[in-house]
Amino acid sequence: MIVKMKFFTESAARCAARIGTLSEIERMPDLIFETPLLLIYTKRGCVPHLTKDVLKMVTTEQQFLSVSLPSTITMAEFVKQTPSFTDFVSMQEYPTFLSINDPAETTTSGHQEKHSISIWAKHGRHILSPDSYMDIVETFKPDMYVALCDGDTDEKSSAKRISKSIERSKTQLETCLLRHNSSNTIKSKGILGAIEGGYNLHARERCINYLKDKTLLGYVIDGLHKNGPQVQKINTDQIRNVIEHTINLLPTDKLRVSMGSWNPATLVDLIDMGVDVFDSSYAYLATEKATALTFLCDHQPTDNHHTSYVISVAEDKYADDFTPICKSCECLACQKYTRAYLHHLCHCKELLLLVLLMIHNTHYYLQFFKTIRKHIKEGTFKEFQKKIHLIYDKKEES
Amino acid sequence: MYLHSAYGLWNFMCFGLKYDKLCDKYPDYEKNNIQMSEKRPALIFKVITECQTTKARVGKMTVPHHTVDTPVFMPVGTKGTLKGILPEQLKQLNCQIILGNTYHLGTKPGIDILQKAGGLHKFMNWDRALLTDSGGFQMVSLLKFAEINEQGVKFISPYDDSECMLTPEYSIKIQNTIGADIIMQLDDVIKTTTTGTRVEEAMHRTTRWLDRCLSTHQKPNEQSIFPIMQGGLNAELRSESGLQLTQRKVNGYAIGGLSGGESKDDFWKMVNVSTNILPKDKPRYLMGVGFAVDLIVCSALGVDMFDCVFPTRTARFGCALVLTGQLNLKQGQYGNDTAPIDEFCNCSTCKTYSRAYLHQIVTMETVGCHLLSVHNIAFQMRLMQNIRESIKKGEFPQFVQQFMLKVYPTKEYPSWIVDALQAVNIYLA
Ligand SMILES: [Zn+2]
Ligand SMILES: [Zn+2]
Repeated sequence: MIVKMKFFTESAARCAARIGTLSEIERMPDLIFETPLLLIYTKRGCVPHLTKDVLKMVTTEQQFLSVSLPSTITMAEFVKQTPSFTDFVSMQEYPTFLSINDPAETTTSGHQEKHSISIWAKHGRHILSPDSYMDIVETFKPDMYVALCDGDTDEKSSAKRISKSIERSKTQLETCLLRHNSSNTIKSKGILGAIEGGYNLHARERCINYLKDKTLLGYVIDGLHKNGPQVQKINTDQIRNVIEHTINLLPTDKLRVSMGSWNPATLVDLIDMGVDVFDSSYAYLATEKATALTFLCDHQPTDNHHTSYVISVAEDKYADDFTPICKSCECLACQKYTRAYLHHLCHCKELLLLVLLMIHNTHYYLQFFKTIRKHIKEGTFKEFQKKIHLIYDKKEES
Repeated sequence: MYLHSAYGLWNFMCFGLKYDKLCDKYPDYEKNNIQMSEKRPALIFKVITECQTTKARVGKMTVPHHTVDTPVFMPVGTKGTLKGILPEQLKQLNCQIILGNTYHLGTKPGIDILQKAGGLHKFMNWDRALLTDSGGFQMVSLLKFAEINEQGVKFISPYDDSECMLTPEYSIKIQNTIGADIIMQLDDVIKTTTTGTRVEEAMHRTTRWLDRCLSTHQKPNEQSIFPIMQGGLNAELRSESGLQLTQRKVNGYAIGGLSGGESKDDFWKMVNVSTNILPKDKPRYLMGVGFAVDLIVCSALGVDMFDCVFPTRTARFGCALVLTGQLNLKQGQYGNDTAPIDEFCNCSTCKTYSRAYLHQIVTMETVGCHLLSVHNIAFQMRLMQNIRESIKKGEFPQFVQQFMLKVYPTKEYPSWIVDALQAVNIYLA
């Protein structure tokens, strides 16, 4: 009898913030991850800017990694020489979730065919059929992955485009599921189905009706955006209808994943609507812009620097600011380094800037998720959600 | 912003020049020496073991921030950071002393910020030993119009074309603010291969500038000024330089004017001449040397301290140091190579990652550069540790022979290595 990855939640409410657990990962039977869960964003098999020993300075807790194809697909032939992707990149002790697109990179549109989709890696296009995709899955052996799908839609997509995306994703899922269930190497892994349909409620419904009867660990709510930094600008009003409609149709006992660099305000709303799993591309993109997240630091009214959502260390005012990014943050960057030093590193274009910012931003975002779970458990999530909106909306105005 | 902050510094430097002209009185060096005898000296050097065959020795050099085991290699953290490596990681690599560049630090963040930060140690979160150079070498090599006269190094500000001057006094003033444990005198830098009267002039001027540096030094209890031995490739001038410098009261010496394109024969002979003159009870620092065989040969010739940008610079281009040279991990041949960079290396990179994976990320991800930097620093640290241990065990000559055989398995040793080692009684057969 094979152990299968499990999702469990006590919450019976359909569209509300909920606590759940992910467990019985085949490779790591003792691990239990609580949801809402933040997957740590990786690129080419590493957390950007952080070597593994530094990652362990960021958090001593067990983490779940997100891996995406555009930065890893060219490694496939070499991964074959090793037992799995995590072996090849030396991240064996971390479970992984494999997604098709890179949440931090804007997806190159077009070139999707009925039986294949295109992945754009650094050196060009890769065409993936469900079978060639499943070959990669069997090589990589992620602990959780999404069936091949065409999520190349957003709010501007036409009805025709949406319809095609649904049809393709359906055909592709059929083949993937068949391969999944007949493969000894991966049948114990968690497979997710992608819910497509753009912003068309009826299309979403059609897609869910089809997926409902399949044996899946859960669903990826896909087709809302084309990844990359633009996702940060999406506010809840733009997606509320489609998310609520989608989640209301989903069974409550299945995992719900939403990839992308959602801003914290939209993210708490997604959690409030019942989404369970996210990735940390937001923290990575903040780092790439030389900014440090500070949106939870607003409880220090005496410090005017802390009123903003993020701080941009390049700004002149930090040149002689010998305080940490955030006084209450316990990360290595805040414990040992000052804004003045970060400012200096920024102006010298030194690599250590990105290391320190990534340490802070990753730590900070993980803390954010811890706080979210605590508030859900204690029944104070709604207040916390309001607080996050207050900070974020203020920034929007200014 | 960039221009603004840098511009501020150049003004300050030019101001420094006027200030130097106006004030002829500086805190008295004698007075500082009295203070020094009351407190712990800024540097204590103890020779622990001397090699019975060569001039190599193992020492402990205690400076205010750390006790450093010598012979030591000092990685270069030019602008108050070392190629994306955290100070926490450097400590794990057993790194005891690192180097900062005065010219760069004086430009960015500038001495105003460093002053406010309470020195470079605090600013960069490095609580072990630090060494800074004088800034002169960088100026002469980086700035087009740098020109040396008796007063100092004259240069045209790259920001506003104004004429500025780095004097010995101003170099020490900046280094006092940076606060490194060991600081360098400003020396009269000439091309290593220069010949004729200019070499002699530079040698004498360097001594005169040393006196100016010593008399302006504000923190003799916390920082040691190392004089820089000059004399180019002329053994007599070098001896004369050594003689002059050893008459001053200092805690250690740098051997300058080498590693700048001279022949290896000239190089080792000058190192040998230098260590013969310098007193045994003070540390000797050979500037700008960092290749493995050079480190071994010069340790045998009695050098205690080395620095070089090479190990971290080469990492940025995807190269990993190994005994026989370096591996360029960008090359396709490593794509399928599941071995670590060096199976005998115990650094976190070699214990964790394969060449095949490194091949995928070098020059693509900053992590690739960090991993190679970690290995390359570990390589240097381990080499120095092996040198120290073999000296302590009385096995240094054998260690040197075995090492050279590994590097040159066909025994086609370069003649300069054979000659240099023979000068200290090691024979390569
Ligand atoms: Zn922090
Ligand atoms: Zn190594």
